[in-house]
Amino acid sequence: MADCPHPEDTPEDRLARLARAIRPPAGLERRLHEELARLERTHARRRLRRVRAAAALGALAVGGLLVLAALLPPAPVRAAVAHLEHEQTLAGALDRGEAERWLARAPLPQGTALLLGKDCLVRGLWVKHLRLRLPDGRVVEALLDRSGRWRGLDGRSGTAGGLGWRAAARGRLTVLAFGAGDASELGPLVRALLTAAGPGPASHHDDKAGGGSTT
Amino acid sequence: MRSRRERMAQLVSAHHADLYRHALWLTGDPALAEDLVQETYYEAWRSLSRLGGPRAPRAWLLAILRRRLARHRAAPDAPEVPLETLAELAAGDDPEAAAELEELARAFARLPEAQREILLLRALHGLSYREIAALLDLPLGTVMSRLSRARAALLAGEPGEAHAAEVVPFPRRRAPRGGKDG
Repeated sequence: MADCPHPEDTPEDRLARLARAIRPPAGLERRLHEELARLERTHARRRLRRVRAAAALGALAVGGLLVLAALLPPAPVRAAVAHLEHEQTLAGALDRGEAERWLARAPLPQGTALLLGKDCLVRGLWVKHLRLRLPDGRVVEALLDRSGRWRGLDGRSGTAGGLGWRAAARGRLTVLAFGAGDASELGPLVRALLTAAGPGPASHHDDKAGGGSTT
Repeated sequence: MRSRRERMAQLVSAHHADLYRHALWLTGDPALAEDLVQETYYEAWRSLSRLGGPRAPRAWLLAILRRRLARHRAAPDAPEVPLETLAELAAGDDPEAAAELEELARAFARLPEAQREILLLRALHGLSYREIAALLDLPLGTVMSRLSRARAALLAGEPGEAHAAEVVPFPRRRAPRGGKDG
């Protein structure tokens, strides 16, 4: 209800007083509070859903990465594949004499021919790259590491870059071989290479000091 | 640190009545005024993080209300409501007060909207000239001259006081509701 006007009131004063005389509808404040509480509840539910969805997505992503990691070949194998793809165009008996000396401690399987032998840098690691032709005519690429850093590959096999791969280690020496077809068929050759290049009086450093082409 | 819910509850309790009055005095439509207040608080809730300063809430809420009102006015089907109905809303059962308010409301309704708004900001909300200038994005001098014209027009529009049109632009200071200058 409006107050009585004061004789000295200005119109502005009266306007203010009369404007304030208007009461908001009954229950407006309560409705506003209820509406805000409802907004807060809805917001909290949405936030919870978003958090749950983000957590689920995160778990899914981690699971996917784990599956992917399990499916992917080990890092040395991937690096070796990339290196071999880069060297596909190489041909000829590069440094043949050095490679033969390097493998001189045991004979390769009967009928196996050495097509290529060279020192290569694969992701910062010097390895020996041998290209061999098996008696049945298949070509096998073999990488031999003597640093011990590929020992984790021992006994593992799989497929990478469209080739089967198989690895075996003895001491610090690891042989990683790639060839067309089933990786299990590489087993005899890998074992033969392990024996041929196995631990001997000459270290890998000595082998490199003996000279050899590099890429 | 208070939660958002607590801050909003405080804003509702402290300002909803004046926001409603402001909307009602500019639209003349109680239902629309209530809707505008609800929309104002909804937008305030969504953008509460932009609110700062102890003096800011009223001006901030009024700025939101003005945007909502402008949006409503821009709608092609916005109804025109005679502001004289305000008299009935304010006076209740008191016939004398109703008569006085009706005269005032009629004079108020004749003012251009810019003057009506500036009068409300000053008289109802007690904002300082500087706050009004900031809220309306106007120079301080424009606020002062517009308010002066509004006062004069309001006075001239009231029967029996037309002679007082030359009223001094800045009447005596009321007990302040917050404004420091003006």
